[in-house]
Amino acid sequence: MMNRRAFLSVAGAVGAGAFLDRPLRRVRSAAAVAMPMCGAERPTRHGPVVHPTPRKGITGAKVMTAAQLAKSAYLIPLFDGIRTIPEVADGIHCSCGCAELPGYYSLLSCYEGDAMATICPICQGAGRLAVRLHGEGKTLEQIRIAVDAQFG
Amino acid sequence: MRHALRATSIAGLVALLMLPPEPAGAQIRASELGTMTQLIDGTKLSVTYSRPRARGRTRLFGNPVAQHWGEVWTPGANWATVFEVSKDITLNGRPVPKGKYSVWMVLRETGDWTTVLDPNWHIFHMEPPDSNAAQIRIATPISEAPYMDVLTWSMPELSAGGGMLTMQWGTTRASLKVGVTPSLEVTMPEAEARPYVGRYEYRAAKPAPGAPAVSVLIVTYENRTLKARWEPNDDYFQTFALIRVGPDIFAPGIYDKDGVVYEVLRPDMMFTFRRVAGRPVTFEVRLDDDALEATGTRKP
Repeated sequence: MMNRRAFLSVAGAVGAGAFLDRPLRRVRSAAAVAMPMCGAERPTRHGPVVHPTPRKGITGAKVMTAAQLAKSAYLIPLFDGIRTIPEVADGIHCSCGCAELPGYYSLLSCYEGDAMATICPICQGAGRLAVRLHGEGKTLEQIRIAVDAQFG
Repeated sequence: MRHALRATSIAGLVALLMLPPEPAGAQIRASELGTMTQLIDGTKLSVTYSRPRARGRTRLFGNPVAQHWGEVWTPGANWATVFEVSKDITLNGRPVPKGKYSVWMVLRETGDWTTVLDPNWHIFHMEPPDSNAAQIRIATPISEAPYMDVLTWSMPELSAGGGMLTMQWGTTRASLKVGVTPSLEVTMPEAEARPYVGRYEYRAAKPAPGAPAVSVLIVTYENRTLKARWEPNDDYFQTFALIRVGPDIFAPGIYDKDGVVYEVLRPDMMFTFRRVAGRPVTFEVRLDDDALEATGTRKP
């Protein structure tokens, strides 16, 4: 049987199809190793996640801009997407461990300032999921459930 | 002359400045400090201890002048060995609440030793604690193992649900079976699982070179577990568990040769079913970057 290392570097034959045949897989693994706060010890996995209440009047004004993301251009659409749904991103708890950092409030925080989402695959994945589901008309509560199911 | 002296002084000063800095805290210890840390399904265990060396001593236990039978001994040196765990676990079946403990062992010539965890974790090895109600006492089997000069805590066995924590010195090994609380429930009530059972056309969004774009995913219910496999078979996945992680949301659990789930591909690969008239009829498979991997449609 193919081991995980081989599995991660070679697409499966049938069912997995193109699964994991993406450079992002390696980025994710490297980032998770490099960042002790990020995914290594996710504190919420044994209990219900407590999501923050979106702050009144919250905006996406502090979300990193395209100019700030010049070195990571592939992230610009994601950050732009988060900027359009601050009231949703601000109501989601990020389970990568960044919630332990000072100044953190919500998933939106992962996209502001130093923006852990520039390097953390969990912040990125939760953000992408939130943007897509919001686009599909899902409520904040439904998005929270999906984020918890995958990343909580 | 004066210039020569000044040149010599400057050269000496430069040489002094170029000496490699010595770490401020550097000391040679008979029992150097070490740590062992292990993460198991989100539960973090660590053992911090000073590590004595045998240094030619052939009889490490049952020695009248060292670790004698009946002694309450910390399996380490200097300050008592510290065991810390981030969530509730079991050790040899005994519940151990999350916390930080000093570790002691009651040494016996025959039969099990007793491991004692004391919530008072900062104790010097010469002052073992008296018995008290807050302590956790664990029967600990002893076995013989290949010689190890330095006292070593390790986890030579790991599984999804725990592992084996061992202390070894010389040829003596003490074993503590660790059980952690699983973060996911692999099994599922039949009434909730049955609606998903069936055959689905599985269409890859971006087929790998040489792989068919369309295959069949067969979902079954066996041993109280929702399972799936591809047809034709996928060598890596084989038959895998579909582990429910949310309403109509599942993560694949990969089985080892003993039929035990050893890895859950979460958040890597998520199956989200959609219902029509209450019945799951289609699904999407998405990766951790939310890319669409495949779609599935129930076959008649």
